[in-house]
Amino acid sequence: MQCEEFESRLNDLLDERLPIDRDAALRAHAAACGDCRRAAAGYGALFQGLAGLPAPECDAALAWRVVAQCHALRKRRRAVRYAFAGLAAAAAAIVVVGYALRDPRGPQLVDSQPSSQGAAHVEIAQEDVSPPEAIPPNAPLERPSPDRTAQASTDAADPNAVLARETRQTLAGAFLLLPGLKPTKPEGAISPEEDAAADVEVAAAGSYGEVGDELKPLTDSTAGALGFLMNVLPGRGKLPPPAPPGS
Amino acid sequence: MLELVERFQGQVFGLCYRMLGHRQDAEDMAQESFVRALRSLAGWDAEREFAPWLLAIAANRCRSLLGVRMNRPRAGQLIEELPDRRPDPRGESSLSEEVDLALGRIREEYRRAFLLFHEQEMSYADIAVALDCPLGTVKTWVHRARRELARLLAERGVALEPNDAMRGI
Repeated sequence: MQCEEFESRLNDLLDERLPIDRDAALRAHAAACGDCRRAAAGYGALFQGLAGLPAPECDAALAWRVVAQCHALRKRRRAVRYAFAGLAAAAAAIVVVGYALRDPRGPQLVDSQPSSQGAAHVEIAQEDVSPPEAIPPNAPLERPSPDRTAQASTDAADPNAVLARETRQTLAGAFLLLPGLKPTKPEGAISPEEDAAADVEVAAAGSYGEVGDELKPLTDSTAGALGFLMNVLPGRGKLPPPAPPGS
Repeated sequence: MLELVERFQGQVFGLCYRMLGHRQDAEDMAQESFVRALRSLAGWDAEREFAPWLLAIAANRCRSLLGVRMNRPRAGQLIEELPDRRPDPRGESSLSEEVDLALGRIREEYRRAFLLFHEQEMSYADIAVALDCPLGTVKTWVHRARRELARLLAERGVALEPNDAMRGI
């Protein structure tokens, strides 16, 4: 055996994790070659010292920290999933309700007391605390003498106008269906200034009279939200101001 | 989950410690490696062994941290990593301490490969995956590490008696 072969053979046995002291060829060469014998001595010291080297030990709580971190991550992911699911469900519900309440013809206001402007209000009465009469889903809220020509040209100029108008109609219809509220015949026309400024379909939903005390916070906040929403919609529909409390 | 971590935490921590040379970093990387592995369990091919896959994740995390360290060395890091080179006042050194000193004097990749093979008892294939280098390269590193360490120990006169040399291995 040559010296190069000695080292190569040594490494092969170490790679296989086999004991080298039982290899007769290696022992024979080491006995005959001083350099290889000294090299072998170095290898011997190396592995004997390595065996005594303290192995790095990790913190005993590592496993618990891993488990705790996994649980925390899972909890956070679940919360995010639920939040998205809730938002999706709310959006779907709004779309479904809006679609269900929508009148194919568009809500029409009924002008029971014709006025010079042809405008009308739908007022909410307080006196009748019994369950409100069911409003047919397609109860007409007819537009008072709409200027359909002008409206058509507006729609053509502003594609969002149709969407905005129909959204307001849907919200108005939804608002009318709130429990404790029922539409009554209008008692008077709105002023010419209000009519000019306001979108009549919006006024149909926005004007309300006295409601039950228990529902007042709901209707107040709803009217406020509707007012804000309609102000930001394209077309700038405006709710007339709600009737003061007690009137 | 707990049992899985406890079963492999020694190997993972050992790999991280040998790659990073810093106990706190090694614990952090070991923890992060387990969390990543558990979250990616669906991506593990059941036909492969779990330990090499887990160790590869740990090695990747350690390499990422080493890359960050190269750009941003920490002040306290060097103090912990440098072995104590002061001569022993008693004039004695255990063989293990000599081996530890010698390990600090060889190239970093040689040291990593050598310790992963002989201390962590990983296979050449697993080490190649963990260190992201060819298997032949890992073998070469381990062989050269053995040769250099043996030479350093012989130079310091701590080699075994020639008669005991073969029995020491």
